Amino acid sequence: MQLTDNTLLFYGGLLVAALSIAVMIILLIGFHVKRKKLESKLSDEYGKKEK
Amino acid sequence: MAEVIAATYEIIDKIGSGGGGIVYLANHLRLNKKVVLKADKRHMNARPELLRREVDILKNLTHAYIPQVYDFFVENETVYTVMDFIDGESLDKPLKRGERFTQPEVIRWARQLLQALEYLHSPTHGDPPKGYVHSDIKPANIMITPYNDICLIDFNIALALGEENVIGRSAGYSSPEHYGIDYSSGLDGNENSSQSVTYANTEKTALANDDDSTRTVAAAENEKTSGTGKRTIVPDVRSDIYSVGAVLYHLLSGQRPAKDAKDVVPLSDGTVSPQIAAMVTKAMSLDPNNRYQTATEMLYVLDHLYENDPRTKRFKRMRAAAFSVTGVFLAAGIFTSFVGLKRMQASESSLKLSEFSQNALDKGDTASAIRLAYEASPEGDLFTPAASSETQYALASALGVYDLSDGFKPHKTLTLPSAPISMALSPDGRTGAALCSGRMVVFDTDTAAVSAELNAGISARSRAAFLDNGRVIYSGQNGINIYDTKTGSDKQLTAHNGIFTVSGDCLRAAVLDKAADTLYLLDISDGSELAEVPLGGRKTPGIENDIFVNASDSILELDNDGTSLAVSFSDGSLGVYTFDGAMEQYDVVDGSYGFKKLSGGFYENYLAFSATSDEISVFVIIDLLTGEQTGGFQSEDRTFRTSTDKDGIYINTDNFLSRIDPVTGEQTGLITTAEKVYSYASENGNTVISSDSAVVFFDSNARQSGRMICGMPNEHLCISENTALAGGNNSPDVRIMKYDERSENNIISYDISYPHNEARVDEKAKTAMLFSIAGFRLYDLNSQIIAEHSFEDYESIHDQQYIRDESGSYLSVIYRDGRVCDYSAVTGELIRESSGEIPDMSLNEVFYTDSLRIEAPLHGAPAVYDIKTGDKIAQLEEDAYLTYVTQAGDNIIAQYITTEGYVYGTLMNEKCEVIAKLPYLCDVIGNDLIFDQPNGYLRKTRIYTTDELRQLAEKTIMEV
Repeated sequence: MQLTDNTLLFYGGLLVAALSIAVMIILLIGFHVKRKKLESKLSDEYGKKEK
Repeated sequence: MAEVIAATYEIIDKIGSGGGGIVYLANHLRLNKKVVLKADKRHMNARPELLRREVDILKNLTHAYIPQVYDFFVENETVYTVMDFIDGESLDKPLKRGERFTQPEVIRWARQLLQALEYLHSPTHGDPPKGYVHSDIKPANIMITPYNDICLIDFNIALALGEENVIGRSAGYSSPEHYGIDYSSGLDGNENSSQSVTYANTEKTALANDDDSTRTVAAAENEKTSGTGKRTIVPDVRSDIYSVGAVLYHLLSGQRPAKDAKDVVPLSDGTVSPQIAAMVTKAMSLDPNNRYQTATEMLYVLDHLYENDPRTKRFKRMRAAAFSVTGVFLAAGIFTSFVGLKRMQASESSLKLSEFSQNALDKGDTASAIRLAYEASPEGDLFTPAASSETQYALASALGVYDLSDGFKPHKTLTLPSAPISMALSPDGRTGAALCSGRMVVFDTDTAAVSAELNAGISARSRAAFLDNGRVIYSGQNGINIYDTKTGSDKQLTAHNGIFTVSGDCLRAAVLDKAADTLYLLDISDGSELAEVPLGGRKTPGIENDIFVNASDSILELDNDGTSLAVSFSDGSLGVYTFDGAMEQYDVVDGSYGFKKLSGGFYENYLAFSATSDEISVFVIIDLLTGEQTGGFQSEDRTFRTSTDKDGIYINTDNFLSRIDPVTGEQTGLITTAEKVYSYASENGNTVISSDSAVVFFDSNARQSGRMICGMPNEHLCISENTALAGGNNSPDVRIMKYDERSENNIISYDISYPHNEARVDEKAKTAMLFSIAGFRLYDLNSQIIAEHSFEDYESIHDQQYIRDESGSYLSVIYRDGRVCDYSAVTGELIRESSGEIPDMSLNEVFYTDSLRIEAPLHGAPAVYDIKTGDKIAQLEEDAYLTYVTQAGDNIIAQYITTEGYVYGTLMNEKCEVIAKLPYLCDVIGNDLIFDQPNGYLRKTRIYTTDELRQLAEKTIMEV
């Protein structure tokens, strides 16, 4: 398939979006783990968070 | 025996004592429940009823972390308060033991303590509603239950009663206000400042004595406001806050706070969390205005430790930043993709419209082609890309800006109710008439607008013909009709229903009435019958089944004045009827030959016809005056067709069409084509033929002057003045073509008999040179020959190049032996002769533009390479030989020559995509294009930008 500028824009945009989503998922997991660690640390410092 | 108080409470044990009294563990005799009895020997100033009311309020205080007060009574001048027994120990005990507590534990207790204070402080108790200050918060007054919860005890009822002379003071835990010190003036409370020191000596003593007990301070020791600037400080909610802070301080650090609030060393970040340290520090601010103003406020801090922790904030910031950045990329990606998609869709739509435009142009509908090409090329914006090469090509083609040829060109297309059976054009070419099944359509050839649609006969031999510019005679439903285009009247000429023919002078008509089997000669002016000829049973082709018969395979023709009529019959015979005086009839061809197809007519006094059987086809010319055959021929493998009009006799076979002299037999070719001729029409030197896929025009020199691809034969052709019509048996579309003359673009005219391969114009556009290896001819702009030269030794010429440089314009002739002769393009004189290297005989040529290298082999398609990268970026046309490449601005122009000698150019963009075809291109000067038209004109136009083409299209559409 001949890649025109418009095709590059379309697929390039999709690629960037897909990579962004992938990075977001990785970030979500990473931050989730980090949040758990932080909460554990804060829990050690301040006690369990009361509702 | 145990002591019983108030006949209800049996003293079990003494569990505590202090400045405020003694605390007993007692047993409620009736409830059999352990209670605490607090005996307070201080004198109460309040009236009994006030006391009772306050007790009632206190009894209603219900909180998880405050002991329930059950009762209050006075006995033996001792005030007893009965309250819940709280199991556990007060916090001062483990502190004294040196026990340390974890921060989470302290925070938990702090939260409970503040909840209790929040409840206590809230002005919702009693009527009128009010809140209560504890005023003596210290570890000793905080119980730790077996469940590890706190319970705030030793609520000072006296303070609740507003007894100003009863204030609990515990060194280190009591706020400055407890000592009558007011830091709220904004000063630092420097004891040397006379304004800040508000406490009396007794208070000072109290501070110095390191007393942990509650003291009673005489009201008189606190100076009242009496205009001296000092006032009575009463502990309030903020004082309790201070005490809470002090308790937390002790619990966290293991050190009791300094008695003097100014000497308190703030908690360090190393031992406790910074938030907690800050909270305690704020709670213990000297100035009550700088502390937490309410327990709720301080509780809020504890409830939001997680959120307000710097690490949490940093985490949230990082997370927000990370997701923001990723979100931006995601949004950018989605937006970019959306833009790309929109642009792809727009491109696709544009491409489709360009195709539709090309299809419309092929069909001859120029107006639609322009409109579609215009729609295909919107102005570019973010979502709409600039016009593609296909769109630019469609636009240029539809507008015909680079087609400078004179000739018939597609004008409009009219769609009939069904495929035409017969068509006719008015003598001035402005009105057309088309007979289709059951309908006669009259239309304007300029606008293609239908001016009338009439009922007509459905026979395949139905006809329409113009008598003059305003009247059309046609096969009506029930006879022969005449329609007047000017008045709109439609009158029946005769009720005789059948096929008809009209004399050349349009004064007489002959009608073959199929029902009556009779020929009638009519006067067109009034429809009167001039003659009646019974056919006596002789049948004409299709007379019985006239739906599918081929009308061109039979003859029914009147001569110019309507005195002779030729009729072919089904048996293959051809009869002539004369009406000049008495009616006579004779057969020119009898039925014995078995001819099946006959065609022909009258020209002057001659009858010319073709007759074809299964074995032979003949062509015959008969002089009707003498009755003798003056010409003719026959063929066993060809089929002849003959027609006549006022201009002559025409003979057609296969790809051959000529006009034949009836006397000499000399033939003048009207066309030169390799295509089979299906139909033809000719007038005023212009001839139009239909091949199986195209309509082709030829000028008076039999040179092709126009071509329109149709994809099918057009059996019905008409040509009159500047208009031509083309229609086929298999399509309801009628193509209207108009003669277009582009003389306004003329540079010079020249004798077309002068043979040349190339034409160039000098750099000042003052002269034009036509040249080939045989020689050259130089013209001025008045089309006068300035010079002419023949190359005697043309066989040794290797190449010729027309050069425009700083020295001027000249023709450089390069010989195989290396000689180079330069001839001036202004005077034609030899200006230079030199010897050089023997030229490279290879026929591969290389051309250069600013950024491209084009290699043109003798065979195969030229290839285009990027000069910088060497990458191949395009392939040019393969079916013709590339002769010349030049750059014009951002555009590239290539010139080709076909094997038939047809020279044309292509206009390309920087990617070498073709954006316009340039028929007969011969030269490029800057932005100007020079065309060498085959009819002997050099013409000039310029390169149009896409915007200019769009504007032109818009203007054309508006005009329509």
